[in-house]
This record gives sequence, C-alpha cells and structure tokens, in this order.
Amino acid sequence: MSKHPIDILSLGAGLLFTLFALGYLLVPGSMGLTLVIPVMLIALGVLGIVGAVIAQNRRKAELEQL
Amino acid sequence: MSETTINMTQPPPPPAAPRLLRRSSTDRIFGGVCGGLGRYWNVDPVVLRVVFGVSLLLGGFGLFAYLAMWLLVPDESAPPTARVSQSWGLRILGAGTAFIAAMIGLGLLFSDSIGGGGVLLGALLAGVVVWIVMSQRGGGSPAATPAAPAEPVGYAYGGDGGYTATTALPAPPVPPAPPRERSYLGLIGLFAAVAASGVAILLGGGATVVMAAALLALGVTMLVGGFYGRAKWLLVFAIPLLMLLAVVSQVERADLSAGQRVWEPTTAGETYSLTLGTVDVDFAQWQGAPVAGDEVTIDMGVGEVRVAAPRNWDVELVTTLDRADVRVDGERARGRTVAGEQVVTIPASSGTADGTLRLNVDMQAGEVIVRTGAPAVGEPTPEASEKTTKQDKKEKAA
Repeated sequence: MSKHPIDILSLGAGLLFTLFALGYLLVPGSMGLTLVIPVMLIALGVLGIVGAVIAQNRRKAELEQL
Repeated sequence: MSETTINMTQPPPPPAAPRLLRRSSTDRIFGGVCGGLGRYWNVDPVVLRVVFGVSLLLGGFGLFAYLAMWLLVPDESAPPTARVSQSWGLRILGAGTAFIAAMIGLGLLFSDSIGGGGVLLGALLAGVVVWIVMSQRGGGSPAATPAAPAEPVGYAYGGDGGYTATTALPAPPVPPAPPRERSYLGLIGLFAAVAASGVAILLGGGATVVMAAALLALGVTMLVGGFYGRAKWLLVFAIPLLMLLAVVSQVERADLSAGQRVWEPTTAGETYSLTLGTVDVDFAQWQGAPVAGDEVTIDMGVGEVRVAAPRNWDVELVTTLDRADVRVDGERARGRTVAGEQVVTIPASSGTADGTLRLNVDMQAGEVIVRTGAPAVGEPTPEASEKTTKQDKKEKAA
C-alpha cells in the first residue's frame, strides 16, 4: 500500500464517520436523528466540492508540468 | 529549391474507437456496472457507486436499476457489435427488472412519499451532478484508440527529378498512465466492519452498538485511505449504515411503537408515547373540565399529532421542538418561547373557557395540527371546583 497525495474526501469522510460512530458508542443520547443526517449530508457535500476543486487543480498542475 | 516538402492536406483525424458500454472486469465490486459506466461516461466510478448507494434508500430503486444493468449490459468479452447481453434469458430478466425500477422511479416522481426530503434529495443530486461535471477528464482514453497507419500527406521533391511520397512526422507518443496499484485497503475495512459488528454482538451490544462498531471500522479505514491506498468507495456502505443507525438508535431509545393511534385521555397527568406515526387526541372522554395546572403529555418520535380542541377549553400547547410546525385550523401558529419551549395558547372558540389544559408535546420531528371547535366537553362540576379550591389552598400554604 503506497503513500499518495492526501485524499481529502477519504480523509474527511473517514473523520466524519469515525466521530459519528464514537458519538453513538460513547454518548448515544446526544445523537439526534434530525442532527446526524443533515450534518452528514452537508459535510459530504462540502467535502465532495472541496475534493473536486483540489483534484482539478492538481490535474491542471500536472498538465502544466508536461 | 532542392528539398521542399509541401503539405497538401491536413492529417486526417484517427478513426475514433467506438465507445462501448461494457461491465468492467477490472474495476468492479459487484457486477462491474459502476466501473463500466464510469469508463463510458469518463467519470470516477466512486461517484457512481455513491449515487447507487444513496439511491438504494429510494424504495429499492437503486437496487433494481443496478440489477437491470447487471443483467442487460454485456461484459468485456462480448463482441463489439453486441449492444445488450447475448443470452435471451438475461435480456428478459433484465427487462423485467428495469420495468420494476422504472415503476419505483415513477412512483417516487409522482408521489409525495418523500415529502420534505425531496428538497434535500434534490440538493444532494445537484451536488452529485456538479461533482460529475467537475470530475470529467475530457476526451477518450488515448490507449483505447488503435494507432492509425501512417498515411501519405505530402510529396518531397527528390534529386532524381521525381516525387517521393512522404509521411507526416508521427505525433510524440503519449506516455501511458502508470497502472494504478491495486488497493486492498477498502476490502480490509469492509471485513473489519463485519468482524467489529460480530465482536459487538458477542459483547452483548444492542443494534446501535453493533452498527456503530461497524461504522467505526469503516470510518477508520477511510481515514487511513486519506493517506495510503484507496478506500473511499466504502462511502457506499457508510452512508446507508449511518442513516439506518440514526433511525434505529432513535427507535431504540423510545419504546418501539408505530402506527395510527387515537388517544382519549380522561384525567390530568396521563402520558402517551408513540415512536412513529399519527396520534389523534380526542378529549371527549375527559371527566369534568380541566382545572388550573392540569396537563397531559405526548412523547413522540416522528410523526403527526392531531388535536381536537374542545370549544369550551383554553388549550395551552407546549412543544419542545423548534423544527416542527404547529398549525391551528390550517394556519401556522407562532407561539412564544419560554425556557426553550414553544408555547401556543389556543383560546376557547366558544368565547368563554370552562377550563385550561396544558398539552405537552415532546417530539423529535413532525407536525402538531390543532382543530378548534370540537364539541364542548365537561361543564365544571362541583367536584372540579372543590379540587380547584384545594389546589389554591395548597399553593397558598406552599
């Protein structure tokens, strides 16, 4: 398994789901249905956009190098 | 003028390889549908997997759509002329599955079963479309285009008085993209999640704990995938799992109950619980008229509470939720906020109130609908007035 440039979507989604899972395991009372799902969707949406912009910039830089 | 090359024509564009929709045999998790579609549309298959994963929640639409494509789209070994699966059996099964998917899709389009979620879903799909557009990698893969034979494009004047055909300089070869190292991280994470849920069951955890353990394994794997290997396709599993976890945890905390109920409280202090559904509150069986301080409580998960307010009562509706609508006779009511609770006072529609009842609605999400003008209930009885006097005395003593 080789190291690669940081994958922001994978990293962010991993962090998000890890925190949610820990929340459910440690303080289940604080995890409301109406909070968890919107937070997940918003966070994934933002991560997706940021990830796409970063990927586009990386690709542009790669093409300029050629 | 010894050696002159005159270009007579522009080099013709190389014939484009026909773009074929094929299920991928290399980039696959189940049937290679997303891998094949990703190559066909030039989109990251992970995006398509996420879309399919989310669409699984839409009444099974995604499941049937995926199955239909699995059955209908030929794999890579099929000849280029084949448009659909070679086998008639697969075609018929696939057409049937596609029909079911279409029916579910139409049902979703023309029903309001997803309600307010429609806006959310629309926003989500719009986000996915933006992502797909931004992740387009322009043009077909150069490796897929067979090298066109060099064609004569001009003539060189040779020393022997004749012309010899020349060919255009070949275009510099495009370096092939280095093959991506196959990553087993996602697969490891998936099985780690299965194992984690097994351990959680063994330790006697409830459904919430079991699912949270699996989610933890997926989350940590994706976290590692941020630096090493590839694991973001685990989102396909993590998103539905978290949604299910959120619902199950909510239901586990309350008593599991669902449906359409009628609640007819008779005296003050009664409480009614429902996890999911509709509760019609009818005060017709109430004994006498409510006196100061009388209250009843509904503990509700998600749904609708419909209250028929007797015409001769003031009803003080107290809700702990801030995102639910309170509607009185179809009009949205905005109450005052007292200590984090929303208080809506519905005056007796007959003009004079024989009593005041406090109705507490403790609800996660939903709507409280009040209809005024229900038949008058319980004239004040001597008993009730005696009760009031006693209570007053108690308060004074306190």
